[in-house]
Amino acid sequence: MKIENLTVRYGSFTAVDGVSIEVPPGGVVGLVGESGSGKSTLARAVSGLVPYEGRIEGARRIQMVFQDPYASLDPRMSVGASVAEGVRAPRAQRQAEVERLLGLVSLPAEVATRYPRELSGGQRQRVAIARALGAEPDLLVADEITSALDVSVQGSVLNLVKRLREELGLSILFISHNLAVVRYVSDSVAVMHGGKLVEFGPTEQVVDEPTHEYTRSLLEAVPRLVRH
Amino acid sequence: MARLPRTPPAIAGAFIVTLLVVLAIIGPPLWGEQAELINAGAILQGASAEHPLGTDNLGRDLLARVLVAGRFSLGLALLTTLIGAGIGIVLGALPAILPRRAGRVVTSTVNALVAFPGLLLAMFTAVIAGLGAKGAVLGIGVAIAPGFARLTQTLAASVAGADYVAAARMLGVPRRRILTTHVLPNIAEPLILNLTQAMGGALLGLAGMSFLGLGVQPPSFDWGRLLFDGFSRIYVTPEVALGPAVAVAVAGIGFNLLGDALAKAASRTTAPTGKSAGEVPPPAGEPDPEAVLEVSGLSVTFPGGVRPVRELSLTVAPGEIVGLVGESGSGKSLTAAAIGGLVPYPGVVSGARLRLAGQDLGELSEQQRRKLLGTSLAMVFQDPMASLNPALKVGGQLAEVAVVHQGATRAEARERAVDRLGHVHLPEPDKQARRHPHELSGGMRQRAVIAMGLMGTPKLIIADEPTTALDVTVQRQILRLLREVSAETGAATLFISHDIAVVGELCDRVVVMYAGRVVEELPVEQLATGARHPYTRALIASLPDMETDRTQPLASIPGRQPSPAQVPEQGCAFADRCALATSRCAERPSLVSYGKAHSVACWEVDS
Repeated sequence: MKIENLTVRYGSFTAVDGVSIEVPPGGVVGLVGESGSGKSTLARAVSGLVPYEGRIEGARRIQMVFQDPYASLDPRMSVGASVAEGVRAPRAQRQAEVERLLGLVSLPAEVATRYPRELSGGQRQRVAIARALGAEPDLLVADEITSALDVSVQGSVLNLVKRLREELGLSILFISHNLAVVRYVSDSVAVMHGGKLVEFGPTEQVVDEPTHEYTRSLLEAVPRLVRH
Repeated sequence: MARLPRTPPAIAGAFIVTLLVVLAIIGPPLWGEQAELINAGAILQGASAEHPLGTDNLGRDLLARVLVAGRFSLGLALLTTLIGAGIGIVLGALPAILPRRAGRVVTSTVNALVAFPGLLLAMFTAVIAGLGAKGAVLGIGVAIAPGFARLTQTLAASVAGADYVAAARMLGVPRRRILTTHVLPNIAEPLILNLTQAMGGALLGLAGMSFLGLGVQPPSFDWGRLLFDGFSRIYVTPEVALGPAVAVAVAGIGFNLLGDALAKAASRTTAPTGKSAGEVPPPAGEPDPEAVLEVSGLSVTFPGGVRPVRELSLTVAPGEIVGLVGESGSGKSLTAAAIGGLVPYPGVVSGARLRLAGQDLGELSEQQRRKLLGTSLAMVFQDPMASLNPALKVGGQLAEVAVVHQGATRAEARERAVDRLGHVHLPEPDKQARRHPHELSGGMRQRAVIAMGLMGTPKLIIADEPTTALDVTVQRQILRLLREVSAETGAATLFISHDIAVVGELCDRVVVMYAGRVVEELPVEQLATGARHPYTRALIASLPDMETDRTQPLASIPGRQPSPAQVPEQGCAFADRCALATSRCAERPSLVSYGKAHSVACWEVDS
């Protein structure tokens, strides 16, 4: 999957300015940046939710998982109905497919009859991932999917992302403001600042030998728990 | 739908509407005959024992006619409302499925119609449709449609922006299906509520039309028609007009009151009523004279016996930065609110001894307490806009503190405000003071709030997730500023956060909360490797950092934290998520000292 020279403009304001990123098949590319850096706009453009200039090649079906699992599921729709929205299977096989998708994200099949309000934040985020997987995407865009979750739940969602990538060979564009989280799940890291891509390379290289000034300041600001 | 609030207007509304419905059902069979009974011997009479509201020009009893007309009046009003709502909702929903250009045309048409006077629209339609009930119903129906269209449009627009609609679009769900499965069900509730009020309006409108002679024509009669007939006799026998007038007014008021109450009930979830936990006496024990803040036995209770904070004790020494960590729902923010006297209604703080700067808050008068909190306590919240008035300039807001609590003059206060803004490293403080909050960036606003706290001489700074909404590089600056302020003023700081890494970087001591209780208290040096409580350890293990082994799965805690209403009264609240849990955990472990400045509430630790 290749993003080439992607630009998004809102009136005279350029939110994303000529960004090119390549996501190899089955690879996870992490995208970091602060608020206003254009990373979420890039996610929406890639997912076809905002108009853009430039080219996106090699991924026909793109699905996105949103930051807030409390807002991304219709409160009046059962979990099963939400997940079934993306499923293309004929009606008779639909229920089995929904169960399979819920199984993929380690949720029991009974969850299908429940409503979002009965689930925890982590469970809702799993449902949102299952719904996206139902459309058999070539690329999954994960926009800050753990930042609304509690720390104790975040770990299990990150593990799920890693597992899905291994089991399904899923390509993922993983967006987060948290460098530690991005470092944990990604093979390569892209850093955005002011709408521009300022650094892009393999994770170890970006984290250990950053070349751009901004990447360095971002790395320095990551709060660290000193392990004596 | 939420239950109706038990306020006098709500009760009155429900009562009147019930009465009207009963009247519509039993009216015609009970009094129908009497209402049509022509009596040539009793024409145009005033009130008498036989005819309490008098009779009309054919000698028919007016009371019976008013009671019988209820069904027709209400039926017409219902029909009118349904027509209005039907047209309105279709018009309002159309832009969501039409092509963009056609959608805009519909939207502007609705806008134009909303601006057009309703009564004119009604009369215009009624005249075209012909005199009589049909014309009036169509007329008033058309007149209330634009309001419904506008409401539908506004509500639909808010739902259309929701993430779940974006998700459905990405999955390729057609627009028409998005409208029927996502948008309409989610806006149905406010629309239905609005129907009740529209019903009241339609009733009044129809009566108005009939009264103008444009509505119901004889021999049919509704309340408006009766009013029209009686009106010419109002100077001779006012009671003949009074009956239908009162009926129209009461019905209109009834529907409006009920609609209002329903809307209010839907917009807030009423707190469950029920037993509140019994008063817990303040705990005994000598106060610590050194501590800036001493909290013991603090509980926050909501109606229904929900206790988000349970018998919490905490001390903060001068110059010390104490971190209070926990997941959302652990009660950490309510603890801060209780200290600042800001627990939201209907929460109750009970059993607490709260000492701030050596003074027992429970023993002070309201005025003394305000003064003490106003000058010695500074609070910084996650959203700086919560502490700043968007309509006022930053400098003026800061100066306010000095004017109110320290009796400074305007000029002195302003000078101090600029000085304080400079103190928190705002560039060109003089210029920033003249700006409105929205002209500052998030980080600058948070600095301004801290500066506001420094207008007095704070003994304690409570910072509730002050950096959660900020970028990491700005977060770092704010953390540095908090450290600097604490070192310089000697103020103690209570820093509340869900982020254990941030707490580890800033604080001297860490207090870990789970399900409303403190489960561990420890010096920060021991946080990473010396934590003893299984919850604290799991929390630290599940946090990825820049050294985490990427080939290993992250630790995570199964299950979820019980909500405040579900916390077990007996036993350890963490037990069912805990790998070390034994039968002993059915009894709640208390916080036991485990080495210097370290205490843990867990049975597995002391062995």
